[in-house]
Amino acid sequence: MKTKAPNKHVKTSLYFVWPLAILGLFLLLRALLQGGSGGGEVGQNLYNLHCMNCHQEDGKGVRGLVPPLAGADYLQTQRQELPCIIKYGLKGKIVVNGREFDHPMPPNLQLSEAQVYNIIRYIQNSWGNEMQAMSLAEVKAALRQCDPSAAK
Amino acid sequence: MNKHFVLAILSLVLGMLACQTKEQRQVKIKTQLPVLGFKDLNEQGDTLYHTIPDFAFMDQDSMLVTPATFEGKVYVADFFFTSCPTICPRMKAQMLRLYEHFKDEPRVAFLSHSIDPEYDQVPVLKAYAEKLEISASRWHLVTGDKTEIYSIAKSYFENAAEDPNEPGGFIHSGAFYLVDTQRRIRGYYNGVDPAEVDQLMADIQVLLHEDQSAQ
Ligand code: HEC
Repeated sequence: MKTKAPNKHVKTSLYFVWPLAILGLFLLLRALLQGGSGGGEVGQNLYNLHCMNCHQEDGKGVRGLVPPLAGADYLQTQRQELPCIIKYGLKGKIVVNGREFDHPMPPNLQLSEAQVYNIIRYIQNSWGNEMQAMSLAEVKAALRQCDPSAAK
Repeated sequence: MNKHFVLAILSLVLGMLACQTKEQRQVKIKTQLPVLGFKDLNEQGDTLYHTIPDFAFMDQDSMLVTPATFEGKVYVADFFFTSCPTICPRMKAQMLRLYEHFKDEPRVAFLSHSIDPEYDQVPVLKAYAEKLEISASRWHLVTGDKTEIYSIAKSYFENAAEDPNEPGGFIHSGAFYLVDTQRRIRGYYNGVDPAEVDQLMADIQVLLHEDQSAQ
């Protein structure tokens, strides 16, 4: 009788371990799957960090103060400008979806080419946006054009 | 036997704690709000609460805003500046939610202090208000004497300061302060967190009810 007791103990503690192990496996799989979907989450994290305060989580902006990114015609018409806007900011009057905006957007000089690329991918494919993807080469070329240190 | 008992109690407590932290995310329906700040007693032994001192600032319509502007009203106050490159637009988006929610409630007002009064003069505030589509009758964007603004910030326990190392040149907390009809602070909320702003929405209702039953 006494020799069986520890065995039973081990078994009951296993009941706790199994669901935990399964949960762990599930979380691991999910993380792997999401990592494999390519840049989406990276772009979203960058957006949340550098853009969301102004353009908002839903990409709709703030009334007449911050223009929308969701469904914005500007993203199509000024497609080539996007890398430079993101890195060097924007000033002066612009028109987005027929509405005038005139409030400065500050630069994000700390962003690398790859980060700018990831952010563009994210805004081109979020909130119902479906836009022709911009390649990393396009992003690099655009940034070279507006790099103030290269303009000298 | 004893060990099991202790374990059982421990897991019960842990379980209760877990439930509580989960609940915190949801809006709590309160019946009373605390009065924030240091309390004092006067000679008669009545409690003296911390209140917002007198002030006079200019709003986007060049109207002078003083405590009299908020007579009989509860108001939500915050600190911002129009050229803020960080959290301000997010705070304003959340404040707009409150502004729209209470649009038919004349007893609720809003007061946003600029902590960059040199740049944020009346025409700048006017343009900002127009972009936000807000009316100065309910939401005052104010500017004024710099030392006066920074000293009123202290009375809200707001940590506003000029700091050249910060993006935009100023630091501030992003908090919304709820002030009652007697100029007492009844709550503060993270103005960039929608869940906390939901709580503020519910708490405003508590204050409105409090004033109604006091009449
Ligand atoms: C401090 C607030 C702020 C931040 C942060 C910010 N923007 Fe902007 N953004 C603006 C404003 C304001 C304008 C309008 C500029 C103007 O009027 O000339 C704008 C314009 C734009 C435009 C062009 C107009 C449109 O809506 O299509 C794009 C694209 C854009 N921003 C993307 C971004 C991205 C991506 C980020 C993050 C890397 C970002 N912005 C960060 C405020 C901000």
